Amino acid sequence: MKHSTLLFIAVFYLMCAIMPLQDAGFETSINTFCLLSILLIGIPHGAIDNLLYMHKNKVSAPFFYSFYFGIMLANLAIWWFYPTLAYFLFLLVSSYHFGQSQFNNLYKDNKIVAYISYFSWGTSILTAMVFFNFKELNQLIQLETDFSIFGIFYNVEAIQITLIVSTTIYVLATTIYRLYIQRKINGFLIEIFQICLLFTTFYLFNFMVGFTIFFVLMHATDVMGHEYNFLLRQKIIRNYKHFIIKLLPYTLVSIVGIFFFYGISQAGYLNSSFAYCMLVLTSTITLPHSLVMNNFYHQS
Amino acid sequence: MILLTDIAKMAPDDYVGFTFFIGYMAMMAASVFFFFERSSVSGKWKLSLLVSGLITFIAAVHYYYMRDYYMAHGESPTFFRYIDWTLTVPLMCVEFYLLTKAAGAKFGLLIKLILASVLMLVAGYIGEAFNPAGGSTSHSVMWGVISTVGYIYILHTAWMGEVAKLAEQSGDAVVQKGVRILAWFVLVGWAIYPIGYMCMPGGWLSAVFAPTDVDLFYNIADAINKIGFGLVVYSVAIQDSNKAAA
Repeated sequence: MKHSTLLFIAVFYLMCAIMPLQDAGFETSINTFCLLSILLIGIPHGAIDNLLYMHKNKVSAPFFYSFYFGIMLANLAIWWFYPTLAYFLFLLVSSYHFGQSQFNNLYKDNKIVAYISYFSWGTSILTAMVFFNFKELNQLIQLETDFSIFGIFYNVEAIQITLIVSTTIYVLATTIYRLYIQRKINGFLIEIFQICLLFTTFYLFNFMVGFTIFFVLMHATDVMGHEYNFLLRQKIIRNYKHFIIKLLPYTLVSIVGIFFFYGISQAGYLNSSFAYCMLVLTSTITLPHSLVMNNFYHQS
Repeated sequence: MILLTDIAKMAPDDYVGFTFFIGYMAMMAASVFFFFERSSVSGKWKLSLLVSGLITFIAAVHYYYMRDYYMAHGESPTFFRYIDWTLTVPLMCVEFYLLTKAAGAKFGLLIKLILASVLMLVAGYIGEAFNPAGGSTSHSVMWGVISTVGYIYILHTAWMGEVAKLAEQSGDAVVQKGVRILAWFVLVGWAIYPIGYMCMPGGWLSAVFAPTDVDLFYNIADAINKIGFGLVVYSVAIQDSNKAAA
């Protein structure tokens, strides 16, 4: 079992213990805590893409930044002209990225199973997150008129079918790989237990809590663990303190950027809502980050 | 105490009463099995099987009292329940220690596991037994969280901490398998208890389950964990003994 999985299980059990305290004050506190976790742990996991890419590929800083910002601009262009396509691309890339970081140490000997697992696991998690919190998300989407163009994606039947199909494909892929190729029943049981617990998390808690538990504990901490080990092996960092210092610059830039956008959105300088702008920004950063991580895991 | 002959009637849908009777007989049968099977395993496993037998025997005696208490008063025998757990849960920790002793487990590991289990149980007892009339959510949550901390420590020790590392170091596939299965019991089997805890008045699940359902979950969890735990130890012991004899 991975450390991030055990951390997720521990937090899940603790959350189950404290969730009965459900009143308005408690919900605000827990949502604020979730937001802080995303800002302070979630964002930093993508804050050293430059170090990872440049050291992995032995390329110069100008090359890296041209590559990174080039992709960001291309993604922004897609958002400008074809927002629905850009949103679909964002979901697809996110699914792959979540799955890849989850199973990076597996399936090295079987690329087909690897790609199937990455996509199916990621899709299953994303759709479960939406499906089990559909009412809550739908209410939020109704409030923001910008999101009406994504109505095609917010069809409960379509989400349910996608959830069932992707979960089935994932379970079949992991069964074949773990039980028939690897012959490791323990690994198989952990994976099944983990996905069941994730679904339970999305079912029991609100979207913010469910997303934070998954994104911060299972994804970001896991990825940061891989990054830390790599940088330590490369002697780019010496210890945790040094690692945190390396994470700081772009983490701060991102946090300041978010507050900047919030400020100008409140001042009425933006044509779109703050939530829509955050979606576009998140997608724009996710695309090059996923490519960097894909490169990172492929060369590991 | 009341005798079976004094019981006028048991409702066919009284699943709590049903599981008390089943639990009592299953624990007693398991004890007999473990005590008799001690002679089938090699010397180094006899103590482990004795502990397994003691766990189920202590539980059987308490189930005898709990069953009667429930039949007489129709309420949860919290007092007997926690006496039972105070004795048997530390004994389960002893099983972990005995399994990894050959790989160099120190007495300190046993003490740490017992302390964590005591924290888990004492907090659980205060949360349940001293819950104000009608149920207090803040009371059950506070003691539930403290209890969960003890549980998470044991979970960590079994999966990634000292016990897991010692099993890995032992190089013995049978011990590794045994520790892995026991760790699964802690992860899944022991997680049934909080579901019961949350059924009490003021708990998260109190709107879904009746307060008496607490015992339904506890009885199921006890049967799985105590007998299952012992059977895993027995399976490891018999495999290792057969390997040594071959």
